[in-house]
Amino acid sequence: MGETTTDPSFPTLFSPLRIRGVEVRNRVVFQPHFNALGDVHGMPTEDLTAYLEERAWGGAGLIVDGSMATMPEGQMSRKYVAAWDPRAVPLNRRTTDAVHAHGSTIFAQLNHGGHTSLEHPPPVLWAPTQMPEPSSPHTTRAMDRGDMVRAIEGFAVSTRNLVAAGYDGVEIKIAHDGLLRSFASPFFNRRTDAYGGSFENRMRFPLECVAAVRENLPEDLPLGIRICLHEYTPFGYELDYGLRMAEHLEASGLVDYFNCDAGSFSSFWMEIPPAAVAQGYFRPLNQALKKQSDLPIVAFGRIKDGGLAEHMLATGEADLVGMARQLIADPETPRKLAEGRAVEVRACIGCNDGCLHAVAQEKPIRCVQNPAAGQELLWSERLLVRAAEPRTVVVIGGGPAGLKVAEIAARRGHRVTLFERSEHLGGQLRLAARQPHHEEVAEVTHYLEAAVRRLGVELWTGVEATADDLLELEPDVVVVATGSQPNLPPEHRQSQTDPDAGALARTRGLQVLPEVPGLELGCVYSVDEVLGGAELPGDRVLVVDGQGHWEAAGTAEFLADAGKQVTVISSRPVVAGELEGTNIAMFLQRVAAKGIALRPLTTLLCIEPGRALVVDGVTGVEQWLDVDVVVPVHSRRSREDLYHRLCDLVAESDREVRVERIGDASAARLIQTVLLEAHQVAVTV
Amino acid sequence: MKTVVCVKPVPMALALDADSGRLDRSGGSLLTGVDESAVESALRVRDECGGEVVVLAMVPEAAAEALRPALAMGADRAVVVTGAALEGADLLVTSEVLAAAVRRLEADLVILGASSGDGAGALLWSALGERLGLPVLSRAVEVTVAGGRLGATRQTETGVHAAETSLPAVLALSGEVCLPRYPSFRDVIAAKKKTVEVLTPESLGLAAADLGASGSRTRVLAAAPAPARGSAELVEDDGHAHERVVDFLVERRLV
Amino acid sequence: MSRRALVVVEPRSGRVPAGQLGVLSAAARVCDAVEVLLPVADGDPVEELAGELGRHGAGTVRVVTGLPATSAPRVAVVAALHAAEPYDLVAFENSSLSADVAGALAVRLGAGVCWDLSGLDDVDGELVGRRLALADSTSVDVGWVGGPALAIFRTAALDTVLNPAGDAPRVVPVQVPAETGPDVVLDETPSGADVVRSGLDTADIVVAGGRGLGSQENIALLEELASVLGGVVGVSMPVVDRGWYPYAHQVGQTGRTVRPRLYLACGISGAVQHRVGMSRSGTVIAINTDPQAPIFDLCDLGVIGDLTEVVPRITALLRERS
Ligand SMILES: Cc1cc2nc3c(=O)[nH]c(=O)nc-3n(C[C@H](O)[C@H](O)[C@H](O)COP(=O)(O)OP(=O)(O)OC[C@H]3O[C@@H](n4cnc5c(N)ncnc54)[C@H](O)[C@@H]3O)c2cc1C
Ligand SMILES: Cc1cc2nc3c(=O)[nH]c(=O)nc-3n(C[C@H](O)[C@H](O)[C@H](O)COP(=O)(O)OP(=O)(O)OC[C@H]3O[C@@H](n4cnc5c(N)ncnc54)[C@H](O)[C@@H]3O)c2cc1C
Ligand SMILES: Cc1cc2nc3c(=O)[nH]c(=O)nc-3n(C[C@H](O)[C@H](O)[C@H](O)COP(=O)(O)O)c2cc1C
Ligand code: SF4
Repeated sequence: MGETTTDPSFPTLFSPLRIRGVEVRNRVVFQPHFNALGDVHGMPTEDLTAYLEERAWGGAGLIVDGSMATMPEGQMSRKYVAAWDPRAVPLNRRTTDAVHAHGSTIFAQLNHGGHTSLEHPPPVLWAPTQMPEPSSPHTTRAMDRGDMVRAIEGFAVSTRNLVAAGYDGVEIKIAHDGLLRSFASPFFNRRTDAYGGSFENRMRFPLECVAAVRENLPEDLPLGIRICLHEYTPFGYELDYGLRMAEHLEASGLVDYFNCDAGSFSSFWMEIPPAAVAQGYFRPLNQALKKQSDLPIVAFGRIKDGGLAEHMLATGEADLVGMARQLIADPETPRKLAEGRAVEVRACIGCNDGCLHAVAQEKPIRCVQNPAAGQELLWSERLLVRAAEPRTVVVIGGGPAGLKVAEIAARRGHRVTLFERSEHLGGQLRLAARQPHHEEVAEVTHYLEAAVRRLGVELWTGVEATADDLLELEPDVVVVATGSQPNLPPEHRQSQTDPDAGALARTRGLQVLPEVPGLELGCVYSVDEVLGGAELPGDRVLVVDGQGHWEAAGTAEFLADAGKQVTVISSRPVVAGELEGTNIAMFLQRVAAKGIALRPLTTLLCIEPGRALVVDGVTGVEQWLDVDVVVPVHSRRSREDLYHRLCDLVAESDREVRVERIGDASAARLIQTVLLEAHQVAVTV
Repeated sequence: MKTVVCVKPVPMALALDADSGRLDRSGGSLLTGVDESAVESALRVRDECGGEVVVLAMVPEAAAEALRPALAMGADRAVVVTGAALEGADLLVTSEVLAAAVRRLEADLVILGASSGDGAGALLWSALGERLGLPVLSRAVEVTVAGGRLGATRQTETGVHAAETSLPAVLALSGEVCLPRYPSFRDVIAAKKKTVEVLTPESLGLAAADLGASGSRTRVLAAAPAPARGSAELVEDDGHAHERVVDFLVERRLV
Repeated sequence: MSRRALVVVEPRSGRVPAGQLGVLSAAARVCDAVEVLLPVADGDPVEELAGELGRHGAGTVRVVTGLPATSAPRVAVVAALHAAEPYDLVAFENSSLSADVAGALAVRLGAGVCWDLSGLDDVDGELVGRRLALADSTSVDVGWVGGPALAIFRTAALDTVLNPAGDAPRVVPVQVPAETGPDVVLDETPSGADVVRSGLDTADIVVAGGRGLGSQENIALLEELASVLGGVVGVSMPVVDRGWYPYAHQVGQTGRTVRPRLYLACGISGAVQHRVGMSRSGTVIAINTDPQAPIFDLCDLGVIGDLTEVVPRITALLRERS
């Protein structure tokens, strides 16, 4: 990023800060996170280098690489970069060089995984005292003195390797997972030797590790601590204790900065909070530590807005702002803010569907908002090239798919016209955003809408395209992104507002209707109708979750909030089982509070006015449920007739027109793959 | 019955920063809601009485595309008058140019949207009426055309009144008085095939020199930012904050 | 130097409204010979009206009886008077009728019009109008080239200057012109129909609400205040997304850009995408429960409080005071 800080709105955010001997060019920190971009031997891949380089290019001041593992026994996943292993040094050097080339500073985070692992089954887990994490079935090995010596040596060796690889500093994780917090924790550490019993004793082993790192760091390089300030479990410690840990660490004189953190494996939704946790929720934690400490403080937690970041810095709430997911979603956030392009920032929607969901399964990191995340070498927006010949591109449908294809095609210099039949752009996400705790999902299309307007895409809202006249527009490329509709029989009321757009496909045997008698009845309401504000004829509602993600779960909650008595059934073992973990955890908490009844392993057989027949998947027992309304959520059907008709017309004509179908119009799915698909199509136009 | 709708596309304000006040105009120009309702009103007249609707704008040629949605809504033709001499045109020049274009188009009815924010638009329609020697009905919220006469419901400071006059006439709307229709896909296709006609003052028989000679009769002597915001007064509501608000409105002469 | 002015007034219910007296005072401050054109109906208390005008600086009151309520006859009268003895200044209050008159006069006399003036001064022998432009964000000094200077005033911005000892003005009758222009027929009795609020684009006052409204019902609070203030309701995007209010009223990056003289932001945090649409408003007042809300960084008056309490109290107090 050039030194062209033109926007005066962020004076503090874009001021440099010195940490020990290192100057960081601005206050934006790309927070450490396991991204599963190491290979199965714990070696950083080229994808990992490109991933971090992209954020350096995007303007981050400080990048914290990792977590990295300090020894084989503490490696939470084989894909954790093996900092202890000398073979990683040249590969890490590749990363630090790439990051430095853009003017960013890069630290590495070191962690010993302790009693947490992503592997199935896990290897031996190390802990101060033998006991499993309460949320885990796997017990631990209580460390003896020899283990401790090896662990300390792991930190020392790793530090030397990191220094050799060109890192500007080291951060030690005493945070939401890992061995060092277990030692500090009165719950996990029940030892009676010199490493337990008293507060000072519990802090002894973590401090020995910190000292080992400090001894191996050159004088001018800083050492930071990622510190969990509040475990948010019924059995764990709270803010007062977290602050006491920080005070003790600071008093050792070994620490140069603190990076705030919260949560634990048993409250993992507070580690990486989904959208249901309010933005700004963690500010009191950051503030409390900032108040007591003389060291620079990195604030953390759902910080995605430049204005808020500036405010937090300017009012002395923190010295740096951490953004993990915001920079995953938009690597260019700092650069855009600095250049007065704040309105161009693509916000993280706090879904955890791409990032956490992937890495928790040890799969390379992805992002719903940013198709390039973790695969920058393939899809980075920096790779977009202007088309040699501008083409006339007609996009049909203004949902996520259509908007994305329009954005990327327009950025490449094509003439793009987009038709959306409703008054608003956004497609299904306009409905999705009405679900409780789900409104940030609309930021996907808000971003795209702003982008296509800015890029001069010709937008026609309130205009329904038809295949018949389309070729008169003389397009070179037509992208059909007409989305999907609830799969209800054509006799159902829905067809009045959303005409059956799969009839042609069905005559060709390309689509089928679900085979549940009664789906055409008036008491059957689609998700689109419910979220669209339909008045329901009664209070007892049965939601059938054949989808497992937000579509059914969030609709059930929407109905419960409207005072309905809601039962959700699913044929599968878990209702809403396709949701990412933090989301499902918080959903289930709310379900309990809102009195929603869940019946997993239960299948809908047929519907009659006033009742629905279900069968228990384990016992085979059938039962009539008295309900006023049934909301069936099974996979939606593509609105694909327009596509087929258009293909026929093109075949009949003598014109060369490329016709593509993307998004739900090709198969109903979640946004992440829809956006990637749209991007991929747009780069080939 | 030929209706000419005078519209004024505005640049899209996309990246306007509150602090720097910079306006990113790269996104082109758009019809405002007021202009769209003027077009809609004209189309309704045509629906009733038949005839033709022409949209007319005095804008740089680059902004001509902004008229296309009006064509899609159903306007028969779109005409822009453009030329270097027109940059920074004041009321007298603008009304002269538009009057010449309206004469050329042989309009029976001229419809204008209400001004956007500044008072200039409110003067334009009466100036245009004067130039054309036509009666003006301003501040209309409803329009009827029957038997060669123009009827309107007007809304002014003194209330809502009925008014009528003979055609040809100039009609000015009071804001967004009706919702614009959505075009059909066919309409859009047809609109995209049409060309926006381009006129120049010369082609209207107005010599640039004449336009220059009439000159501007007003001038800006000095402009400075009004006292800046930011020194905001903050009050905590202790049950009386509303009194401060009302006093403040009075101080600022906003009530 | 001697400077002649004509102030066009329009009595309502037998009185000259205070705002028009303010225009008269403003003209009297910079002109030595001030005339008033006073259209009256049969039975209007002409003596009384003239006296009132005299106390506010009128030297001559030209009374015209039975003038149709349309613009063309006014244009004809003023043009004729000007032709007889030229004025340096012709001043109006800001109203629909004066805009209609002034625009036509400008063309007929080849004169310049400055509108929305909040003051008028004599600077080195030249008339200088003071105006807040671009939704009050810029203060502009304007002048006229040649005469007469046509000036339309924002009356709320003017003070009336009363001179109780002012001489009784000369009262001179004026004939209704023979030619009253095209046959515009105005029905002067108000139809009693509800006022149609203009759209956001042109609104002078926007009463805006955001997610802080909490529920659709609370939109009514905004509507009431807007109706008392003569404004239009605007909303932030979450309000539209929830289906509480139509999209046409959304202010911001993906909605409308407004620049009213007053923007009242209730329960709106002030996200950048919202600010894009309203940051050029004249005066901004914000009501928000969160003292840290960014909207407070760009308002003139901020109320830290619950909109569901503060807004109805403002409405009630305004009603009480008017
Ligand atoms: C309640 C709900 C919650 C969801 N939550 C999530 C979530 O949390 N995460 C996730 O990843 N996904 C979620 N989804 C799925 C997600 O919304 C879809 O993956 C996505 O919207 C598909 O995008 P699309 O552009 O292909 O189709 P759509 O969003 O369906 O958009 C298609 C658009 O095309 C328009 N159109 C159709 N025919 C025409 C025509 N002839 N002319 C012009 N325009 C036309 C339609 O009006 C529509 O706007 C959710 C879906 C629902 C219903
Ligand atoms: C590309 C893009 C385009 C966008 N376009 C627009 C746009 O055109 N227009 C727009 O508005 N937004 C737009 N947004 C959304 C924008 O980012 C914000 O999310 C939105 O403006 C927030 O609206 P809000 O202030 O009403 O809600 P919030 O940010 O949730 O703020 C609500 C406020 O109400 C306060 N509050 C709560 N209860 C009360 C009470 N009882 N009394 C008083 N105050 C209370 C709260 O303290 C809070 O400050 C866009 C976003 C994107 C990404
Ligand atoms: C996929 C993922 C993996 C993470 N792994 C780590 C980690 O290894 N070490 C760590 O200290 N924090 C980790 N975090 C937490 C982040 O550093 C950050 O604190 C958290 O995501 C909240 O901040 P955000 O809202 O800016 O994303 C991880 C976060 C994500 C999304
Ligand atoms: S996947 Fe979702 S939560 Fe993760 S970074 Fe992307 S938008 Fe944010």
